[in-house]
This record gives sequence, structure tokens and C-alpha cells, in this order.
Amino acid sequence: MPEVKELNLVCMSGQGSVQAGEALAKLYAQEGAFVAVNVYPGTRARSAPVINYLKVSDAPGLASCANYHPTEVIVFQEELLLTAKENSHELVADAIGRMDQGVLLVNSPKPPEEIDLPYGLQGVVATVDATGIAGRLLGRNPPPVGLTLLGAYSKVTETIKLDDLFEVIRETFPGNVGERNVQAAQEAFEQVQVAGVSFQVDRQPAHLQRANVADLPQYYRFDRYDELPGYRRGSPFVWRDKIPVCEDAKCICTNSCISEIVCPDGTGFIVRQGLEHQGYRIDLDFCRGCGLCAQVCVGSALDMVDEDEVKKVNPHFQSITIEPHIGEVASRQRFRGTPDVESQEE
Amino acid sequence: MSSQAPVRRLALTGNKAAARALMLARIQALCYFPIGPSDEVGEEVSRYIQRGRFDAKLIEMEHERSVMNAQITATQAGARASFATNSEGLLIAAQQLIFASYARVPIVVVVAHRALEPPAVVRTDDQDTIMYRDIHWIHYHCENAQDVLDTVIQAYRVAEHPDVLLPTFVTYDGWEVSHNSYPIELPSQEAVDSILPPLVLPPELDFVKNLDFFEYYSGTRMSGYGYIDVDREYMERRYQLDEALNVTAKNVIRQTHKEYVEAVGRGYGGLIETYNLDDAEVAVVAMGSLAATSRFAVDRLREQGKAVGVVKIHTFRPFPSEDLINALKDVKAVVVLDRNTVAAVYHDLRSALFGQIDPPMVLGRTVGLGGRDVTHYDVMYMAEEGLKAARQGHPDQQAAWHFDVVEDENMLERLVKEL
Repeated sequence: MPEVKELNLVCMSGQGSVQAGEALAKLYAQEGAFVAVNVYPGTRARSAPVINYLKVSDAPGLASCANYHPTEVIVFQEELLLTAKENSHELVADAIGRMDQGVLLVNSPKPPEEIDLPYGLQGVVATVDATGIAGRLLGRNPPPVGLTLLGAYSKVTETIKLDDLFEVIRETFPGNVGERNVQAAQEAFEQVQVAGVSFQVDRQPAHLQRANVADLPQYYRFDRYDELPGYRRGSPFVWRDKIPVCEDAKCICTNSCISEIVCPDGTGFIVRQGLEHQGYRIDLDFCRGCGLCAQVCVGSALDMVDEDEVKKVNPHFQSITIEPHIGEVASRQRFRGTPDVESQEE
Repeated sequence: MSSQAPVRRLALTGNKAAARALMLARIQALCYFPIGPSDEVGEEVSRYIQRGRFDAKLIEMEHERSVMNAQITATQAGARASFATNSEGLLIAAQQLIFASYARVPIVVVVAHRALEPPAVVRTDDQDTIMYRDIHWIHYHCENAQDVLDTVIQAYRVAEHPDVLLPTFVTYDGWEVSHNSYPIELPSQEAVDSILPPLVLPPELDFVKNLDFFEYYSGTRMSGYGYIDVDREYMERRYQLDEALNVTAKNVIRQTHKEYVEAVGRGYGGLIETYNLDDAEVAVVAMGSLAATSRFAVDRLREQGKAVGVVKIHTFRPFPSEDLINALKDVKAVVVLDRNTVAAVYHDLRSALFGQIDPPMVLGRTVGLGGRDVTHYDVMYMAEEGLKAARQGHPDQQAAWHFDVVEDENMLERLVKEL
């Protein structure tokens, strides 16, 4: 029976793991290997986890399923290791947390010795500051680091050749974009740092806890939001650099607010005084900074402002300016259908 | 390592393979409304158009219902048109789906399955086309990108066959096939052209040729091939439709597959495809990417000396009853994997086998709904259930839902011991 090499790419949506997975598939297929890339899609939200399960074999007929014991893992964002450690998203925890030997490549500016591993690992840890490189060369937020990381992957594992990678990148992105990606991959190839580790932890990664049919409620509840990384209350990592700020004087709508409707995460709400609009506020505990609300605002009252600058001017710009926890109550009312009595009393 | 020299292949995702097939089929209109995971098909075709690889009219409309109307009318005007959608898109276009088959419009709709809401998931199961099984469409289920590419080309040929003239779904699992990069061998344009001539509609179906405004609006033209049916013909029309699907289309699909294999040298089964079935005691019946996983699992079981084979159902409609009865006549138990809520394949297969002399036991397993992972260990476990049923002469559970994901050998071993 031919051996199947298993490789997981774990990223947050927008970082380019799908592009990286396709490029890797092309590279392996060119060499005559058989390859399958199973994609777990990020679900309709910025920073939702996207996982590519890559299988490479010499024989055709690969199974179409996830990899539970990969030998190589590329982590596109260091904070995902924390997600795996806390087991707060079961699929990320599975995709990273089951590996006990092999190569772990992390997108991080830290040297590999300082990486906080979520599990025991015999093998190699490599780091490269792909976000820095790609952010400088490609200039998008979040920077698409997939192809950049493949440059580092080429150096660490030596399974793909850098020139072949460049060829594939140029074929996929003709012109300037391709050249910049090539440059980013080249820099990552040069800058990657590698360290061998033999790290033991007693704690085994928690196994997948699936719902028992008998325990499930008959109706559907929107509870799973808390599991997404960058999206939890009190999470040390929030995926945004800009937040929407409403200039109340410019707010012209009188009845409904399109920005409130389009918010994909239901974080926006209108502050009303009686029937009058007082402006638009965001529940910053849940805002991902996607900027959709500012794009659609009719009176151009909303503007995306650097979060740090807002906090410099107003250090108390925490979540809600008018009334604390009103956002929590509002979003709870919207999702659950019934007001939370306890919170209102508080 | 295989003994042959490595072949340089192109890797394409299922969606991109479908787009490539549409280009090879020389579609003249791309009717487009984006819905994931099918949106990539339209994106890729429009990229080809933009880069000058071929010429087709891009028709963007406000929702799937209009897009499907555009596809139907473009086809009735004599152009080969394409459309890719799934789940909620198909629900919006429901009326047009039914019109297309009853008016005998030979369109091909590419579907990357997505589960229906709620709860809100974007991952895959077959439910979105399985719920349209009774409206006389041809349903192809593809297992990987290569299969998608070959099937789209064959689907146009079958749909446009003058004796068939039926709309066709070419479906594959969303994400698991649609975004799964797979090594591909491309057929040459000449080979495709040889089996797929330009669309020629029969005169009675050609809207442009039949366009006579006086007749059309005065009501003197009372008998059309689908437009204005008089009620005395209605039942006969439905009979023709049923016969076209369940009798003629089966032969045409077989024949087309044969011709395709001759022209291109590769095939993934006409109606069904069997694998390691000759001496098998238990057969796993599956559609789509589950068939690929089942093959992998069966290879592992054969290593352990267990006689298990695979039957892949390539066309769910027309349901290949005769082929299945023939293929499964020597096995003792059949395990049917269904990636839909209603266990459609299980019920159809049981109906087909009912009344046969000494039919095999049929075990139905509903798996992988909403994109739940189905590993080859899962398939091995369910095959073990089939083997146990074959040993003891009756199944423990006839039809059941398989919830667990069997992740590795240790877990499989533990579960098989508990059987």
C-alpha cells in the first residue's frame, strides 16, 4: 500500500491558504504525484478558520476527507496555535493538535524557540515573518501570505523546488502581482528560521466532542459564534486594525439604517432617542473591521478609523459610547429572540 | 512508486475543471449568478473570455430564476448555454427547473452541492439536487475534478441527443470536489469536437424558427412542443418524457460513454462503475466523492483479506436499476452510503432489488450531512457492519444514521470489536 503524505494548511479566511493549496497541488501534479486537497471553508465571516487538507501519494484514488494525523502543518497565524491549545475551535484543534512528529511552519516574527507549542512535538519548528513580508510587498489587509509561506516551506522541507514555485506563481498571477509574490516567496525562503524540537506535554489534545442527538435542542441556537478565533469576548487577538466611527451630525437616515442591516456579524445597531436617530454604534467585542458598513452608509457618516488612533483620542472608546452593555443586550435580543432579563436588570 | 515514468499533469479544482469543460464544449452563453461554492465556475469562464481564450456572451442577472430563464431561452434560440448554481439558488429557480424538463430544453446545470439551511452551514451534502429527483432531470454525480471535466462534455451530448432532449444536472460535492485540486488530463479540442457537434435543435423546439407573431399571439398556434399544450395531449407528453428519461436516456448515456472512452481514452463509468466487485461478498454503493473514499477504504480492506467491492452510481436519474441488479447479483450484503436526509439511493435500490430471486441484504447508512467528515475508516467500519450481516444472515440495523467520525486505526479497531 503506497504511503500517503498528509499536510494541513490552517489559516483564517483571506490569508490565502486555498491559493497555496492549489499551488502545492499543481507542483506535486507536475512531478507526477497524485494529490487531493480537501478544503474546509471559512463560514461567511472574516477571520473564520479555513483549513486545507492536502494528501500526496504515488498511487491514484485518494480518500476525500480530513487529515487527523498530518506530518506537516503550516499555520498561517500564530494565534491559531492558541486556538488549538484552548481547543476553542474543534476543527483547528484537530488540524494542528493531532501532530506529534513532523514539521510545523508558523507565520510569526518570533524565533522558533519562542513559539508556544500547544502539544508535544518531535521534529522541526520553523518560523518566518510572512505577514511582514507580504504586507510590505502586497499591501492588503490581511496580507495574503499563502504563496509567501510556500517559499519558506520549500526551504524547510525541500519537497518542492523554488523555481517551480515561481513558475506556478507567475502562471497563476501574470504581471506585477505575480512578480511581487515571487519576491515575497524569495524573501521568505531566505529569512525562514528553523529549530529542532523535542517537546513533551502530558496533556493530550482534547478529542472532538460531537453533540449527542438526544442532548440537542429541537431548535437552532446561534451559540457557536464564541468558538471562532478573534471573535471571543476577552480574546487576546482581534482581527482588525480599523473600526467604524459614526459622525452623528452627518447621519441622515430617519427610520432604518442600511449599515445595520449589512453587518455580517450583527454588531451594528442604531441608537435612538424616542423615534429620532442618534447615530450608529458598534459592539466592538464582535466587530471584525471588515468595513462593509462604511462602504454602504448613505450619508457617508461612517468612516473606518485606525483603532489605535481612536483610542489615543478617547481611551474610553471601549465598546459602546452611549450606554455600557447596550450592544450586548441588543445583539442578544436579535439572536435569541427574547430579551435577557438579567442583563436588563443590571 | 509506480513503475511507469511520472506523467506531468495539470492540477485543477472541480470548479475549474467544470469551467475548462464548458470552454471545451464551446458554450456560447455564460449565464451567471454567483453562489458559493459554484461561483468559481462562472468566474473562471469569464476569466477565459476576458483573456481571449474563447468567445461567449456573458449574461449576468439579478437572481437564479432569471439566470435559468436566460439559459432556457438562449438554448431555445439555438445557443449552447451554461449555468452553475447550488442549494438556495436551485430553490429560487425551482419553477424554471420544472419548466425546463417538461418543455424538453436540453440545458446543463453544473451544481456543486451545498447543504440546505438552517442551521447555517456552507458545506456539502446531496440534498439540494436529491430533492429534485422526481422532475425528470438527468442527475450525474461526479467524484473528482477529472470526472467533472469528462462528465460535463458527455452531459451536453446526452442532453442534446434528439431522442433525449432533457435538462441535466452535473453535480459534485461542494468544497470536497469543487475546491479540491486534483491532477487532470485534458482531452484535446478535436476529440471533444468529434463527440460534441454544435447544438442543433429539432425544428419543433427551435424558438427562432417557430417564431410567428401572428400565430403566437392570436392563439391559432395551439400545439407547441412545450409552450402551449392542449390538455388532451398532456398525459401523452408526460409519458414521452418518462420514456425519454428512463428508457432512451439510459442507452444514450451508455453509448455516449463508450464513444467518449474511444475518443479520449478515459472514462468514469456510464451509469455505474464497479471496483473489485468480482469476488466480493459485500458491496459498498456510493455516489460522488464518497465513491473515491470507498475505493480507498476497499483497498485497505482487501489488504486484510476481506472481500469487499465498490459500486459507484454515476447517474442517479435515470436510476440504473438493471445495471445494479446485474452487478449486485452475487454479493451477500450491500451497504448504501447516502449523503442526504431521505436515504434516496437506499430506497431506490431496495425497490429495484425487490422481487429478485435471492436478493442481497441492503443496509442503508446516512452519512456526512452538512459536510461532516467521512473518512475511509468510516467506510471501513460500515463495510464491517455489512460483513457481519453477511456472516450472521441478517443485519443488526437495516437503515441507520452514522454520526461518528472514525479518525484512525485505533478508533476503528475499538468500534469493530464492539460490533
